[in-house]
Amino acid sequence: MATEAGARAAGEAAAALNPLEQFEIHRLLPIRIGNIDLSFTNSSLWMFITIGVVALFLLGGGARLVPGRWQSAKEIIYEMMSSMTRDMLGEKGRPFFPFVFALFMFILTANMLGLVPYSFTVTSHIIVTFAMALFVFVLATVVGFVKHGLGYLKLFSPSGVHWVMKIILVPIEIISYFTRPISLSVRLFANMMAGHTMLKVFAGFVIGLGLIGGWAPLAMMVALTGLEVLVAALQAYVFAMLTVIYLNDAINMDH
Amino acid sequence: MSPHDRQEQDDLDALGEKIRRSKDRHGRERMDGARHASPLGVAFRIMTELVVAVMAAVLAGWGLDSYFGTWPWMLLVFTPLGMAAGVLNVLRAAKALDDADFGQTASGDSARRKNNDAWTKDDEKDR
Repeated sequence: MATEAGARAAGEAAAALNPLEQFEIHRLLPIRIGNIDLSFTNSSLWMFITIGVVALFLLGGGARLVPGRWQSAKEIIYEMMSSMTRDMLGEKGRPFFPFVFALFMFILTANMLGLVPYSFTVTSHIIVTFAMALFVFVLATVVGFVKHGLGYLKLFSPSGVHWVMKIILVPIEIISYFTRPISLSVRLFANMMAGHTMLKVFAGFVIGLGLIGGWAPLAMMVALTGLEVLVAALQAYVFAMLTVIYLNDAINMDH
Repeated sequence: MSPHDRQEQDDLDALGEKIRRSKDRHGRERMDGARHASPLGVAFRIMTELVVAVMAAVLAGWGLDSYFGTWPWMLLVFTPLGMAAGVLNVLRAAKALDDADFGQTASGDSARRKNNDAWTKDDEKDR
């Protein structure tokens, strides 16, 4: 009976503590130019904080011959990204490395900062991730056309296929190409939002069940937080890796 | 270069060699482990590829219909194409994962090594 009452209380508490409230955008500094709302919001604030933390992390820590912990952390991340770019793009990919590295650092830091209580997760809004994915998409397309001219359109036409089949296959390839920015952005946004909502829901259970029953969801939350750290790093890596894969299609035209 | 400096340089070279060997022994395993650490992540990745393609195609068909007033023909054309594109995306994603896992073929390895050498040489030139 106690658990029943507890469960009811938990339900009420979870309803009272809206798990989606954390994703709300607040205008901190309303700015309006014409009909465009350019307000400085909490999302903008956290983007600036993210850039600040990235700068602090990369500029600090020293640059000694025998690295300390901080410097080692920087070097490991740098080497991981540089070896990934190098493996996939080869020598031609070198100009794109700064872009990929900046993207990775921004997403990783934004994801990690989002795990700090009372913070705001920039990457949990699809418009933010979509803007980044669209930039990658446009960049890859422009690079493809610059490098191969109209020959880049061959990407849509699989080789060694009869022209009757191509009537069906070319539209499929084109749709597949245009879904890239969407799947890229949806993956990151959905992972971040689902994780944070889940954490908030379990936090509501902890409060609802109180001192007696609250320990089980609390233990679950500890485990989930660990998982979220993994997801935050993995999603940043996946985003950077797919960026490199799309750039690879544009530069080397593999298939 | 004084004998003392040369001694220090030799020590550093020996240390570098030791670190490199240790990294070769452990580094590869750790990196590969990180790559397929989360089966859930892989499943999620494959799922989004499929769902997003269908959704995008349906929305594109719907949008074109409302723009040209051809309801429901564009939707009927685009939906199956989107499903096919979704399957194609899933196959590509699965192939990419396969390559990441088992792709250490002889040719790929040598190509990679060549790239690495080119970069390293350039790095040294920069210095």
